[in-house]
Amino acid sequence: MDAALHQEQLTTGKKVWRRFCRNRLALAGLVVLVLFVLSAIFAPWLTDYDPNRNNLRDRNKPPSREHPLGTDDMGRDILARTLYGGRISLTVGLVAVGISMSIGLILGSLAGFFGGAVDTVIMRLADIFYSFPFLIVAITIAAIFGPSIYNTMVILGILSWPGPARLLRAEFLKLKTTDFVTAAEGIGASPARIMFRHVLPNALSPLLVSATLEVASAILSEAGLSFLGLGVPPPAPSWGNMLNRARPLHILANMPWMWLPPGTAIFVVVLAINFVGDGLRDAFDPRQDLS
Amino acid sequence: MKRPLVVALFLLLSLSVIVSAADAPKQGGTFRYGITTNPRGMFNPILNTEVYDGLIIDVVYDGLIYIDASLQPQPMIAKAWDISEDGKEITFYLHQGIKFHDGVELTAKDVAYTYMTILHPDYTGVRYGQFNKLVGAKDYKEGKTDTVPGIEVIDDYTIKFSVEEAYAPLLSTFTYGILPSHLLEDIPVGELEQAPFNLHPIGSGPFKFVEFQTDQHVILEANKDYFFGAPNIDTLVFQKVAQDAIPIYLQQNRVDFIAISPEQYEQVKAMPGIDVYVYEELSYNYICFNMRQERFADAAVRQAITYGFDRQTYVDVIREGFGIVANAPVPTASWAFTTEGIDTYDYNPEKAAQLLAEAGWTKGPDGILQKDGMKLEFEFLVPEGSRQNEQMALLFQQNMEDLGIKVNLVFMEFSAAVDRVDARQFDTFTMGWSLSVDPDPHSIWHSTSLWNDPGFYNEESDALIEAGRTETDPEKRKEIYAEWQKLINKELPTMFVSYGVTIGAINQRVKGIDTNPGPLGPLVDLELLSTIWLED
Amino acid sequence: MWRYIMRRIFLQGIPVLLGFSFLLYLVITIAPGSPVTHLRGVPNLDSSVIEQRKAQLGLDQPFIVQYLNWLGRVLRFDLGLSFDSARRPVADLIKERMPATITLSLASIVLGWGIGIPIGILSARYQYSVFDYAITFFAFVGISIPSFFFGLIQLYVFALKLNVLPAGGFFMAGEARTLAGYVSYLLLPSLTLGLASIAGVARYMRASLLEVINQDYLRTARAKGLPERLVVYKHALRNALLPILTLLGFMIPGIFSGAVIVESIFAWPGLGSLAIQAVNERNYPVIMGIDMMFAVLIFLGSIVADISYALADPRIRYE
Repeated sequence: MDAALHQEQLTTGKKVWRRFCRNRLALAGLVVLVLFVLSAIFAPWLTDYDPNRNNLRDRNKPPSREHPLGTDDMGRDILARTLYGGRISLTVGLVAVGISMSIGLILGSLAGFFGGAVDTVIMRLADIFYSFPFLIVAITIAAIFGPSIYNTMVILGILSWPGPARLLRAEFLKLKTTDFVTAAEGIGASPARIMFRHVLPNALSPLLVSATLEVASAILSEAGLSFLGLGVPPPAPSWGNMLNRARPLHILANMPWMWLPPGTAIFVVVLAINFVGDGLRDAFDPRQDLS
Repeated sequence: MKRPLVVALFLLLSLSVIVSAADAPKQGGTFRYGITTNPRGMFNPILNTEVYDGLIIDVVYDGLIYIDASLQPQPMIAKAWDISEDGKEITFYLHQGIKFHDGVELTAKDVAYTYMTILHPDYTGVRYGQFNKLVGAKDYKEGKTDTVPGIEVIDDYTIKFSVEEAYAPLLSTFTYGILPSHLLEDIPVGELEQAPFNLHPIGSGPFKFVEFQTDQHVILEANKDYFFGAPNIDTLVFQKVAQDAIPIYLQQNRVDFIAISPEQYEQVKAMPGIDVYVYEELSYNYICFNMRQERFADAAVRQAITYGFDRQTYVDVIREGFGIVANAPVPTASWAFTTEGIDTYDYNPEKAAQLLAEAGWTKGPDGILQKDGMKLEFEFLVPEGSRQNEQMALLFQQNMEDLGIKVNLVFMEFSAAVDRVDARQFDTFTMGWSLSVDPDPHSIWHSTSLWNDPGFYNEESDALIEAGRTETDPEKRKEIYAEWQKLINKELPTMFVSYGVTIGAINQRVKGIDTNPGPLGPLVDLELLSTIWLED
Repeated sequence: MWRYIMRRIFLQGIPVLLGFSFLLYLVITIAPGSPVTHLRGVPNLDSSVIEQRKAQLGLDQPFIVQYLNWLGRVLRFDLGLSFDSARRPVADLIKERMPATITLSLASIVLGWGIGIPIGILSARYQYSVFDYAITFFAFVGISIPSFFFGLIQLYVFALKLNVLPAGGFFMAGEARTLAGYVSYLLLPSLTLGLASIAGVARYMRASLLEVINQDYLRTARAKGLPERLVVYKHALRNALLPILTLLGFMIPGIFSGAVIVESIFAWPGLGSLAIQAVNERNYPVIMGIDMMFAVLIFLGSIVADISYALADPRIRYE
C-alpha cells in the first residue's frame, strides 16, 4: 500500500515536471527566478559595497566604473542595494504568501470539507478579515509595532488568507458534485480519503494560480506600503522603498539609474513568478494529457 | 545655505518689482495659491489650530494689529495704541467705519466679545494660556465672576486691556481676527465650535468667503468695500495640489504661488515664467538629548556630540543648501537673533574625541565609548515619512560611529513618536519647532514648561526667561535674550541642527508681490494684498 | 433567494460587522499616539486644556465605555464628531468625499472588466497563439508595476512632458464641468487604479475559460458537431464567468485600498487622503466611520458576488 502510494506520487511528480518543461516561458521564468534568488543569497560576494554605507561626496552619480549602477541620493551603491534589496523583497513576498496560503489552505479545506457550522464559522471569520480595509489596518499595525520587515510580512500574510481560503472552499463545493467523486463514493471509498486523495490535488491548480499572483502582489504591496512610509523601514533596502525614493519628478526624469534597477527587478521577478505559476497550473492539470 | 546665490536672487527680483511698479496695476483676475493640505473647515480665528485654516482666516478677518514682514506690530483695526508706563495697560483706539462683510460696523464690543470668549469657562479652543494674565481672567475662567476687569470697553472705538504684571509678549498676541459679535453672541460658548458660522465665516478682512470644497479649493472674492482699500484681484483661490505634482501645476499655470521642496528647486527654477525665491522661517530642527539620563547630564558629552555631527554637510547636501546651521533656539528671522558670543560648534571630530576623553570616556573592547559602566550607545528616535529626517539620521549615525558612539535608529510614525517623547521614554530624538512671532522662549525652555523635552532645569535660564517676559523695553529685552542664548548655546540641552527656510515659486504674471515677505509668508502683509495684481 | 439574502445580512453580516468594529476600535485605541498630539507646541498652553480636551473627546473613559458610546451613536445613525479642531460631523466628512471615491472606483472597475474580459476570452480562444502571448505578456506587465510608480510615470509623461492632461485634482475652481473635463481628470487616476484589474481579470478569464473548454460536456457539444465558436461563446463562457464574478467580490477591497494610494498621487478629492490623515492623527470616529463604511460595502460586494454566482450556476442553490 505504502509502496504503491509512493510509486503513484512519484509518477505524478515526474509527469508534472515533464509537462512543466514543455512550457518554455515557465522554464525561463524558473531560471530567472533561481538567478535572482542566488544573487540575493550571494549578494556579499557579488559586490564589495555595504548597501547602507552612505557617502555624501558621491551622491546622485550615474553608472560608472566604481558604481556599475550608479549611486542614490545618499551616495549608496545602487547595485549593492538592489542585490540586498532582493533578499528583503523576495523574503517578504515568499513568507507573506507562505503565511496566507498555510492559513487559507487549512481553513478553506476544513470549511469546504465539513460544511455546515464549521463552514459558517470559518467563512464569517474570513468575512471579518476580508472586510478589514487592508491599508488602514496595515497602517495601524505598523504604528503599534513600528514598521519592520517582519511586521510587513505578517500584515501581508494574515490579511490575505481569506482569498485562498474562499477559492479552495469554492473548488471543494464544485468538485463535491462532480461525477468522479460520486463514483468514488459509489465504490465505497471513505469521504475523507476521497477529499484529500482526489479533491485536494484537483483544487491545487486554482490555488497555485492564486499563489503566484499573491507572491507578486505581496512584493507589490510592500512597495505600496513603502509609498506610505510603512513598508520596510530605512536604511535597509527593499525594491519597494528604493522605488519610492525615486518619487520626485526630477529623479524620475533625470536620474533613471535610481529607479530602473529596483523597478526592473520587481517587474522581472514578478513576471518570472507568474510564468512559473502559469506553467505549474498547466502542468498540474491532469486533463492536459487527455486532450 | 548658498548665501550669495540667494542674495543675488533677492536683488534680481527686487529689481523686477521696481521696474514693473512703473506700470499701473491692472484690476481683476484670479490668484491661485497652492496648498498641499486640505483645510478642516474651522475658519474661526479663536478656535482654529491648523495652519491651512489659518491662511483663510488671515484674509477673511482683520485683527487689532498685524505683524509686518520685519515682525513688528503695525496698526490695523486699531489705528493706534497706548502702553502705560508700567507696561500693565494697553489701550487700543479703533478706526471708525470698519464694516464686517455683512455691512454691520465693527466696534469695541466685537473686540471685547472675541477676547472674552477666549477666557470663557466653556471655551474649547487653545488660546486661553496666552491671555490668562489679563486682570480677573482666572476668576472668570473658573466661573467665579461674570466680568473680566482686564477687558474694559471705554467707548465704541476705545478698548483697554490690563494685565496683573507687565508682560512683554502681550501686544503681539492681539493679532487674532475680530469676530462679529452680533452673529455669535447668542450661541453658548461651549457650542461655538459646532456653529455653522465656522464654515461660512464673516469677517472684516480684504476677502469675503465664498465656497469651501473639501480637498479641492477655497474660493474667496475681493471685499470691494474693504476699509483699507479694495484688492486689485477679484478672486483668491486656495487650490489643493498633490505634493509630487507641484512642478506640473506650476508649468500648467494652475497655481500662481506655492511653496516647493528643495528637491523641486532646480526643476522649477528652470521653468520659463516662474520665479523662485527663498525666505527664512521662524523654525528650527534639533536633536534632543534626554538629560534625565546620566550619560547626557554632562554638558561635555552634549557638546562633543554636536562637534562630532557634520551639520554643515547636512544643510549643504541633504537640505540642498536650503537651511542655515543653527546654534541657538532663536532663528535668524527673529529680531532677537544674535551671533555674539555664540559658539558655532563647527564640525570637528578631533575636538569631539578630545572632549569625550577629557570627560573620562574610553573605548571598550567592542569599540564603543564607555565610562563607569555606562555606554555611549543610545536610541535615536526619528519620526517617519520625511526624507530629510531619514537622511539626517543616517549621517548622524555614521558621524557618531566615527567617534565610537553607537546610535541605534528607531523610525516611528509621528504620533507614536510624540507619545514616547511625552512619556520621556527616549534617549535622543529629532523633531522641529515652529515659533511664534515673539521670541519669548518660556513655552519650550522654562523648567515648568510642558514642552521642556530635554529636561533642562537651570535656574539661571529660568531667571533670564522670566526677566525677558516682564521687560518692556525692546532693547533691554534683546540683551536679555542674547544673554540667554549664550547660556543655551553653552549648555546645549538639545543640539540645534538648522533653521528652516521656505522656497516659494511664483508665476511671473503676478506683479507687486513682496519678494522678501519675511517669515510669515507673502499673504500676511496687508499692503501686499492691496498691491498684488495680475498681468494678462 | 430572498430569504438567503436576509439571512446573510442579519445572521452573518451584522455579527461580522460588530466583531470587526470591536476589533478595530480596540486596535486603534491601544495604538500608541494620541488624538491630542496636534496640541504639542501650542504657545503657553495650559496643561488643563489638554485634560479638558481629552475629557471632551471621551478619551478619559476606559476603552469599553468609549466603544459602547460609539456603538450606541452608530445604532442611532450618528457617526459622531471628528476629533480635529473643526469638530465636523463624520458623516458630513464622508459624504463630501464619497462621490469622488465611488466615481474613481467605478471608472477603474469599468476599465478593468470592460477591457479584461474580452481580451481574456480572446486569449483563451487562441491559446498559445502570438496574440495569446502578447496579451499574457501585457497582463503580466500590468500586474508587475507598483501602482504608485505607474501613476507617477503617467503624470510625468502626460502632464509634465506632453502637457495634455491635468496634474491631478478634480476641476479647478470656476472650471466648467464638461464631459471632456471629466474624462481628462479621470483618465490617469482610473487607469492607474484599473491597470492591475485589467491584467488580473484577463488572466483569470483566460484560465477559467480554458478550464471549462476542456471539460467533458463541451467535448460532447463538439462531438455533436456544434461549431467551435458557438461552443466557446454559448456554453463555455457561461460557466467560465463564474469565478470571474467571485473575483469582482475579491477585487473590491483591493480597489478601495488602491484608491487610497492613487488618490494621494493625483490629489483626488476622495476618502483616501481623509483616511490617511485620520490614522495619522488618531482621529478615532473618522477612522471608524470610513472603515465601517468600507466594511459594509465590501460585505455587500461579497453578497452580490455570491448571488451572481448562484444565478449563473444552476448547480448552486442557496436556501
